[in-house]
Amino acid sequence: MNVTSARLLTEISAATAPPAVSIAALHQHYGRFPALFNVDLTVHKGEFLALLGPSGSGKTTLLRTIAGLEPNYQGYLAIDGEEMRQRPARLRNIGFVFQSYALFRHMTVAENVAFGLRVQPRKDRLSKPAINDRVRELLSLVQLPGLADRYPGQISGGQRQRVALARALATEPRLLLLDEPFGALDPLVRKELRQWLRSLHERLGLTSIFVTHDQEEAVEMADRIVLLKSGIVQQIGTQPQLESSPANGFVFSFLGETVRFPGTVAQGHFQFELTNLAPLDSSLPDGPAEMLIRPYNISLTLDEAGPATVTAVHQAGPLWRHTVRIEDTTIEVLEFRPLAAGSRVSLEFERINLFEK
Amino acid sequence: MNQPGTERATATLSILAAWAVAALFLILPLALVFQQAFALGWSGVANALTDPDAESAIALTLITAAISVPVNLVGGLAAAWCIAKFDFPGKTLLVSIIELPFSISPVVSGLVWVLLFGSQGWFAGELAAAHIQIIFALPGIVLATIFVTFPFVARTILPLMQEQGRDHEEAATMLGAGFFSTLWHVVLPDIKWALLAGVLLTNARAMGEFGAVSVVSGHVSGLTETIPLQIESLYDDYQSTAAFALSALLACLGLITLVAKAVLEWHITRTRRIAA
Repeated sequence: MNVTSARLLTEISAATAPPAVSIAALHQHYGRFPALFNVDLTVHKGEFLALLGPSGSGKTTLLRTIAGLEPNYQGYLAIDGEEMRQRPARLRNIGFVFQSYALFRHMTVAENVAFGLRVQPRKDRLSKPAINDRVRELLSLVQLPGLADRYPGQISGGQRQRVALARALATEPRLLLLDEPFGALDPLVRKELRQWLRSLHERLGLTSIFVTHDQEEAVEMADRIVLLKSGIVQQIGTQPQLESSPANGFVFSFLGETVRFPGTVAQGHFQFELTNLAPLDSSLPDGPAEMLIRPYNISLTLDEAGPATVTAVHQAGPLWRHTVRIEDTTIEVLEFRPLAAGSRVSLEFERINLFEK
Repeated sequence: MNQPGTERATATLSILAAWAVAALFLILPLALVFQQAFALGWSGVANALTDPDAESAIALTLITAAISVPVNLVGGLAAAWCIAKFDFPGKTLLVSIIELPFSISPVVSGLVWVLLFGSQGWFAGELAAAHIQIIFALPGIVLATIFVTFPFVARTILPLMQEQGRDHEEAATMLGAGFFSTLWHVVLPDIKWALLAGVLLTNARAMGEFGAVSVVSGHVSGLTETIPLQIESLYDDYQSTAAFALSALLACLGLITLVAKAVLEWHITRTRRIAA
């Protein structure tokens, strides 16, 4: 980003209330290896944002860059409208929950939570009784009032996670960052904590950004999702936006189970590689392409002359999972009603997505 | 065929053999040192230890340890921290360099100081002009001791610091803690027992170092002789009872260190078990 556009961005932010985080043309390298490439992102106040992507996509690097833990970036990063380059991590007042929680082992739960308050410069520091009150308040906020005197080694993973959260919230940070907050927990605890964290976010009016590789988690918790791959932002949007108009095949396939049909586009038509499927209309330029679709957007109709055969049927929650064979390809289709294995069927597609390859 | 009975017998035999070797090569010599020291009774030991030269040697040894241990505590901590927490080019090389004093003979380490600061050394002119005596004096002895004992602290805490990673420090930073707060409240408590073990090893070696100190000391009895050097002088002088009395003192200092370290290690494993 050049200076003019940076200034323009600053002026625009100054005109309205500044966004919680503005990032423009951000680049980050680990040695020669590029970790983030040309990231543009605006996080609104009060938003719950998910950084989603496979491992190595740069999502944690982006989170750490916002925190100030990776200071060697190029580009523009502002928090509440203030440029962050000169401001070290410890003076940003950002709450950070580490994937490992990083609780101080030799301190009790209460001492862990109080740490951020105790290391404040003397003039800003609360009195000892005030710190104790605040710690008690925070521990009841995260529903752990009885554990104040335990050590991190003596409590469960879910409890540790909540202690880490209470510790991060102690100094009333302007931004809460969470790195894979539920990564180390078992699935049941994870589900429960998701709801709880989401409601805590609302109740405290926080602005939160969390990193996850689990699309279900992102969909369930976040207002908006930033989908990353190889250090490049693929798309930013709400779940319905990403689902209805995915920027590319990666976005679509990362957000849910995907059935993939390779083919070619020629003169406004997508021709399946499978010769028995009828061509589809397409506005893509000529060349190799693929059609992506959710398994529940394929409907099967009994048809003796159909191109496909149902080879197996299993119940999957409220739906039935059909394994369907078309020529030499096998696909999975979800239907509300089961068809008998061995049935000959024809296929109908809804909400198709065509992408160049 | 391998029967449980024979296996147990083999184990018992191995353990007995290990104890026999330890007794013959480690415990027996030590016992002999004490036996020789007390050959003339308590008064002999008392006389040997209150001899002015012996007292000077004891004082010099304690001063040397008192300077070199804190220096290596800070230096070793700084080195281990750099290596454990930061990635930089030449990191592996730095680890090897830290271990250098372990791998080269102490005599060579001593000679290096003579080469640098001796009367024929590189800085001889400057030092003479400023009337600073390094070789054949306390500064030389301290320098040689620091060099020889440098790896102990760094090597004891480095594996622990590497295992711990940077999460805790980063968490402290995000909570607003500065460098010294983080060091004092977060880094040191995590490594304090290992650090203390490293300090004890440094201390034991600092008091017992012979080779490097021998080269730089000049062997002036009552002036530049530490306990180990004094022992050698006495022994060469056929004053074996006095030599053994001082040896017993040095061995006692070493044994105290060893016991303290064992207690520490027991403490470390116990706290780790509780934490896990």
